[in-house]
Amino acid sequence: MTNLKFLLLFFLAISIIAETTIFSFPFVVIFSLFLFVLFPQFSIMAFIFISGIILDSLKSETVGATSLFLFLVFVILSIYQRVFNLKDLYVLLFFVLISSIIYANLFNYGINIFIYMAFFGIIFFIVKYIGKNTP
Amino acid sequence: MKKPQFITLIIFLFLSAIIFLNNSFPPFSFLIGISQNIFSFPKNIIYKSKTNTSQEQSVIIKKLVADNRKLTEKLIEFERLKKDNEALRSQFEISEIIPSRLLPVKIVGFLGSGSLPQVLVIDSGKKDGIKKGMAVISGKNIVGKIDKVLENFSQVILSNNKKFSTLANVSGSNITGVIKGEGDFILLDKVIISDNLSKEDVVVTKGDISSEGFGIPQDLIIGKIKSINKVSTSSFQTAEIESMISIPDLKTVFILIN
Repeated sequence: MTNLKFLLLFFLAISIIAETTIFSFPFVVIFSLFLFVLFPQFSIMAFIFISGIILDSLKSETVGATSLFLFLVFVILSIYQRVFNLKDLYVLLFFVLISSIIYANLFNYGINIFIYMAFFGIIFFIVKYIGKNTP
Repeated sequence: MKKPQFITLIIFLFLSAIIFLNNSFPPFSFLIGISQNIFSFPKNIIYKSKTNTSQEQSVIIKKLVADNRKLTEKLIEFERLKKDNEALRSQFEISEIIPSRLLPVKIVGFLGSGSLPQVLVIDSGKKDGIKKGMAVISGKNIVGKIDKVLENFSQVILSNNKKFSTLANVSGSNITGVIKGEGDFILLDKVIISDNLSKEDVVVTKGDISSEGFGIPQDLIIGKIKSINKVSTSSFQTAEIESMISIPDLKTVFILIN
């Protein structure tokens, strides 16, 4: 699990530059959501907060907008987890998909639904494969 | 989720809201400037390598596209000189172009699809005198206008962005309209139904200068008419405009400072 944490943190760090330079896709939102659900620790939340600030400054967006969006989603997610005892990874994937589409729509990323479906389809397949092979 | 973690969440949410509402507060601006300075170089390198790999057109086609663009620019210049000539003869108005200061800036990022971006991120900001509303050009073509300005970076909304609009007219005629970005294309709207639009007509800016002395000047090329939508029962007709510049291939653009 520690390896997974560092892997997600690494991808989040890379996404900060890649997102506004190579691919216009909300990778920061996606990796932040996965990190928050799997490792809801203070250090992870602080890393996500700083990542959001840096991403906004590199996009020349109003700084704080991404962090505000992310932590609002985290609050909604944690309330949902409390009320419905969310453990199903597929529901989480759906939540991540909807959040990333809303974020992309709000911040001029351009929404290509097919790319989103393909990306989340791959993640769904990976999760299902890992779930089958994990004892 | 445990209560202390939930409280941490609320604290970070509160901090984000404070920063979001107080971007112009000097300590925040200073920190934003530092992070932009740190990441400016790698962003530059990565964006340059991206634009180099996306150039798939052959040399001949590229030359033809460039020649086409130059000829269109000469055509616009010719139309402007003709207008000046007529104005001087009539002594009613002078359509002189006010000398402008051009600031070259590098593109370091984009938002939107790779083939048709909506926003460009440039490596100049408040410290270079950039202000919201300034026109961004490439040659004699309008690229877009400045939307958001931070210390070292700024956002340029492109002419196909839904937030972009300006007055326009068809070069060589009195036909006027409004240019609006529609995401996937540029729309020439509010053209009177009785006006005769033709495919391949060049559409230029009519001019939209603010009281501070900057904005979009006249006679900048927006694009060529690709298709026309004319319904006889409507008061206005519209046309789809195709830009003459390839945004993904741009590395440097110019900002009209005044």
